[in-house]
Amino acid sequence: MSKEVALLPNVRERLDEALKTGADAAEVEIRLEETESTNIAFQKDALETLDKGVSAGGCVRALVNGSWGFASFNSLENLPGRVEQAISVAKALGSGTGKLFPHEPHTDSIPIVIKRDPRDVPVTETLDLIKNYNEIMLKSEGIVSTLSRYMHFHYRRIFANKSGSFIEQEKMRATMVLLAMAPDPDGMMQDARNFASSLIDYDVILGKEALADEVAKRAIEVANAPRVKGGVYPVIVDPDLTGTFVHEAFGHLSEADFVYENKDWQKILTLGRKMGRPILNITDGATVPDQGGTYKFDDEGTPAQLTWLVKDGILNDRLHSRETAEALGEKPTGNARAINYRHAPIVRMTNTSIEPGPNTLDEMLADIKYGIYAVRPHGGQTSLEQFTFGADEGFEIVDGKIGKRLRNVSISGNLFKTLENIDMISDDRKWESVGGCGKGEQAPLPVGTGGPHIRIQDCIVGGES
Amino acid sequence: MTLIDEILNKAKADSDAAEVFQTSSETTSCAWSADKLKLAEAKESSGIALRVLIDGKVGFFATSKIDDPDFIVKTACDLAPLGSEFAGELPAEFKPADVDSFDEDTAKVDAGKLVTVGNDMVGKARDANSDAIYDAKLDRSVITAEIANSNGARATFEKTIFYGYLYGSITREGDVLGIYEFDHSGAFSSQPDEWVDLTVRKLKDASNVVTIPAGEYPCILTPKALDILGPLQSALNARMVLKDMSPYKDKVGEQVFDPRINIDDDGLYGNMPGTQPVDDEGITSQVTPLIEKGVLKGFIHDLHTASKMGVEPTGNGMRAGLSANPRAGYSTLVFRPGDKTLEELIAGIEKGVLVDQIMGAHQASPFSGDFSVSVNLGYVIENGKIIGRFKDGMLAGNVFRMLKDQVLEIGSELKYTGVLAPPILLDKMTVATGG
Repeated sequence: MSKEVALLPNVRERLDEALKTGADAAEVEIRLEETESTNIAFQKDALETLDKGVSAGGCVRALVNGSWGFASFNSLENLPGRVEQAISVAKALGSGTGKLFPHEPHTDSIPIVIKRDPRDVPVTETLDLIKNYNEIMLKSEGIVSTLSRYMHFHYRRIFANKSGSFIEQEKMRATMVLLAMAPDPDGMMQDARNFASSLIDYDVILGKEALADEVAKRAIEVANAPRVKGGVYPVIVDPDLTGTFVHEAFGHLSEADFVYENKDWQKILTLGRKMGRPILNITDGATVPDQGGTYKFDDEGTPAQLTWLVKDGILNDRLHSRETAEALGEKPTGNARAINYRHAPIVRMTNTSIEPGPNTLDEMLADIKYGIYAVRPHGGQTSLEQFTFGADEGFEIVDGKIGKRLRNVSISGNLFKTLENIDMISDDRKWESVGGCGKGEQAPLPVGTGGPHIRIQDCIVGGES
Repeated sequence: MTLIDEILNKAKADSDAAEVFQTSSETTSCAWSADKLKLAEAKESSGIALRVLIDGKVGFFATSKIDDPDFIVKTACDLAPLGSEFAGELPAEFKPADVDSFDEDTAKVDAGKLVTVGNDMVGKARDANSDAIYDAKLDRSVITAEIANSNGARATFEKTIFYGYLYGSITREGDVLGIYEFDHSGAFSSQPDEWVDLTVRKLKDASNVVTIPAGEYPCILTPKALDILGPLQSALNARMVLKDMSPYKDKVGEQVFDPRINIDDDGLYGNMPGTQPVDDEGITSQVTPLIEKGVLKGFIHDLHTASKMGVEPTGNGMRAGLSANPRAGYSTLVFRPGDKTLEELIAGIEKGVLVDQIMGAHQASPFSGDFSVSVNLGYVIENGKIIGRFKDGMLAGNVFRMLKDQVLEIGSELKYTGVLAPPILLDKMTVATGG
């Protein structure tokens, strides 16, 4: 399929024409989108998956008498009819309280600069590459099975609203995940994994033979490692995992959509409240280059910005859509995002990070008699005040030194207590963009997570006694 | 000529066999946030997936753009020489099972009806407990699917799906309590009333906060807390067995679990979201025994795995979305109930816990069964009664060991939460707490 094919001929004229149908509405937005994706998986000794797909469609969202109506579709015929449909379902709700922060119109077309485009790479080349990594792992002593996956997507989105914006954006991501499996002494399958991912360059997955080797060796180590003992410990979190920690433990709490109608949360999350020690700084921003949550405009046409959520330990700002900003008397931050055209945008994180601090890893280790070193993310979840996340790798810390490997390390805690308990932050920030975030029915949304090493006192670590 | 016929005809010329799956869906939903009705949605979705077989290999392409049959056929046929092995044969005839997968009344539900029912639900919940703030969603879909292959088999079916939840939360400095009740079903009936009753009762049970020292306790896991069963679902899937990713590869006929445990995949269970007359490859839906009295009976299969392992397919060739090839997946995994009600299970516990909501099931290992999850809603039981809610706890163990060595009782009330299961009372579950 040619990359230059337009979603729709004369698209701007047709969108303008359709938007005229929305005279009754305070705002009407139309999004059109085309996505292509490829999925490859080798499982143990053979290719398991080679799937290709193309999806095209659109949606209309309309605010009528303070209530939202949304319509999504695959056929791009009759856009005016779709606008009418969105207005008609909004009217079924009667009058509501939704109001929008005024929109400053933008006309922009933002192509991504791709170093090597995965869509230009012959499938055979990718198959050979992934097959080779898979064989490296499978040949490794003690490995009983493997899963080697590659996937890429590319999408183009067009956004237009009644307020006069017309914005074209595109995005791609190529990701590889290598997983090796070995039985533990009870015959249960333990695994180790690692990944490579890029928003701008297919070649990020080249030359990963050493990574495949490391994953296989680690699977054997994990299978023979003792389980962590449950308890309350000091925990040092590595830079890859710090990003997931701050995403789960704090990021979701900064999303204003659960605050703007909830007076109890507004009381707790008053800007200016102390969240942590003065070394703690937390940011979110789609302006961070080339990460999962990078874009120039959000899905309401608001320009991206860098938002300082926590500054010197004090709650400084939160993430907004046009509606939540208007309701709280604050300003939109460019965080209204939809995973695709089948969903209305909601307030989401983009690239979230704990900012670098004054300490070093050695300083963090020095006075720990017994603690846990947690490395790379293995999922996480939050219910706002309470959060949990898993570590892909865990080690014990004994008398200031990183010691033997432990398995099944998961951490849980109360957000407010845990942020207060961060007593050291290092200066070695790393960014990671392999992860996807889930909220409501929209998952996985590409996000970036960043951070340096952090040390958290009195962490609850799950595990058998 | 229909689009399906056109694609099949073109594909036949360039392949050994071909199969087309065409689906369309129509969804209406309404959402409430902080007691207020916020959003109504009308969604339409359609697309087509083509699978071709050339020299025993699969070429697959799926798209929502149905205006270019030649492109669809060419893309799939070009991929086939590079594709994965397919050991089965596409059947020459489909024999749909007689199942309840389409509910006329649910199909007729419109946005107006959802608004009425949902406003009534949120209103009742507020009347019963106005300290809490409520979010809710009601969502109903009608799905039609047609599957046809070049050996002449063809079937069409319609499904209705209802999904909805009520979430009640009470937010205080230092204590945020959130309780959700939800249903995912083939039919929309009285679920909202049930959610109101349960949510209001649970908000009351949870109002008293107590502490419990870390330790091993008898523990009731409710169906909502059974997200941790993922590794079991993986272990009983033939795709995993074939790749040595299941610990049960050579264990058919062996006692793997407590003798009170009976598990099957029930493709015929009425009004379940996974129920349809044939699977996504056209194979007749059926009940497949997996664990009987703790003994491993077999696995779920698609056409390819059944052929590879020399057994009959089980009607579990499922598509995880239009753009995915059919692979063995569950219709409804049923954990067969015992005879004690939840109330009786609680009454029999001297000192223990009841866990109703967990977080972090997906951060556990997907294969080993080891888990370490955060308890999002857990209660302390003393002398047969719930005395209050405990906070900041974690629950750890191993799913396989738990079902083998730690089962005390199986409850009687089934609830679908991704699997259809009753509450389970387990012995010596490890609870870590900050206290």
